Amino acid sequence: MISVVFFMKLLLFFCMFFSSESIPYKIFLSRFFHRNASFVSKNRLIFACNLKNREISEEMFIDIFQNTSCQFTKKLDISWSTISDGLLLSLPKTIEELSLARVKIRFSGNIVSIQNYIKPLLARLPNLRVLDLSFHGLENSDIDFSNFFNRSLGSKIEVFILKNNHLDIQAIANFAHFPELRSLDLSDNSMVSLAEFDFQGLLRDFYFPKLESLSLRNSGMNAIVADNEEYSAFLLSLKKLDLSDNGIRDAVLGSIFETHCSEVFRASGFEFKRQSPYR
Amino acid sequence: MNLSGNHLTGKGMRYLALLPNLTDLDLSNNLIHNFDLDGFGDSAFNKLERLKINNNFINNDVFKNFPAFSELIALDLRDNAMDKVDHRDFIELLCLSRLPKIKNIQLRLCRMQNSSLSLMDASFSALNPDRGEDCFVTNVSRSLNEF
Repeated sequence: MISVVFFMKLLLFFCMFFSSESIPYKIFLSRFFHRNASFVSKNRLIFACNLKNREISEEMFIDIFQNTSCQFTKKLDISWSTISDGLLLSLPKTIEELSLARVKIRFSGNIVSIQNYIKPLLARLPNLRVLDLSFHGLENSDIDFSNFFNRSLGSKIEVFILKNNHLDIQAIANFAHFPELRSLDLSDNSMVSLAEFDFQGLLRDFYFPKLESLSLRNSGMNAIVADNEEYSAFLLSLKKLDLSDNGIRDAVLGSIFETHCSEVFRASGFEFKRQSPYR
Repeated sequence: MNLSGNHLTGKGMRYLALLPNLTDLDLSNNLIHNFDLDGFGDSAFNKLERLKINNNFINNDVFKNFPAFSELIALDLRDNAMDKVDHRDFIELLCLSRLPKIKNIQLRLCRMQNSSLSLMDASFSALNPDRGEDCFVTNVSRSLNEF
C-alpha cells in the first residue's frame, strides 16, 4: 500500500515536472517532498497548497512561499500542522481559502492558542473568503469582532467553519460582522437552545443577508422554541439546515416550524394554502 | 434539511410539510414508524426530490399508505422493520400517482430465517409512465417475485 502511494506521488512529481502546461492548478506537497518545493518551474502559478499535518519550518516556508510560484497561492490547508507565529502572520496576502483546523502555533518554544492570532490574520488576509477554525476550543469572546470591523471595512468571508469549539448560541451575533457570509458550520459546539437568543432586535436582512447554509449538528439543541417571526424567518430563509444528532423530538419540530410559518410565508410572498392540522 | 440521528417518531413530518421549498430531507436514524401527514392531502412536500428515511422502524404497511410525493426522485428505505414487500403495492407505489417521478428506491429487507437475521439488498429503478414508458424494474439484485 505504501509503495503504491509512493508511486502515485512519484508519478505526480514527474507529471508536474515535465508537463507542458504552464499553469497547474493544484499542488500537494507530501511528506516525501516537504524538503522544499523548488522543483516547481518558475513559470508556473500554484493556486492551491496542501501542507496538512506537518511541522512547517522557516526553511520550508521560504522555499514554498517566497522562492516558488506558491507565493500567489489562493488556497492553503495547514490543518493539524505546527507553525510558528511569525510564519503564520507572514502568509501570502493572496490567500482566499485558509484551513487552520487544529493547527498548533509555536511561540518562543511553546505551543500557544490561536485566539490571539485570529484578528491579525483577518487583517493580514484581506481577500479571505473561506476560513476553517475548527478544533480550537474557541469561546464566544474569541470571535467577538465588534471592535474590529466597521461598515466600511467588513469581512469578505463567505464560508466560516467553526466545528468542535466551545461556542454557545450567543456567538451567532458575532457573525453579523460578516455581510458576505453564505455558509456557517457550528456543529459540535454547545448551542443548547436557540430560545436563549433574542432575535427580536435583529433585522435578518441586515445581519445575515446571504446566509444559505447553517450546520448545528450535534450541538445539544433539543429544546428549541421559536417565539417570534424574526427567528422563524431566519431559519426558513436557509436553503440548507443541518440539525442532525441533536436528540430533537417531534414536538420540537412543531415549535420550530409551525408557530409562525404561515405568517413568514405570507410576508415572503409565498401563497400559503395549507393549514396546519393543529390550528 | 438534515434531521438524522434525532428522536423523531413520524408525527413531526406534518411540521416539515409546512416548508414549501424543501427538496432534500434526511430523516435517517430516528424512531419513525409511519408517515403522519393527515390533513395535508397530496400537496405536502410537493418539491421534495430526495428522502432518506433509512434506519427507522417503518413496517410492511408502508407501501399501502405511502404519501404522494409528486417530485420525489430518490427514496432510501434501507434498514427498517419491513420483512417483505407486496408486489402489487410496490408497483402501484412506483408507477401510479404517488411517486410519479421516482427513479431510485433503496431497500434492505430484514427477514427472519431459521431464527437468524439475514439481509437482502435490492435497488430499483423505474421509468416515468407519464412519458409513455413502461414501468419496470431494473438493476435488481433480487427479483421482486422473491419477495
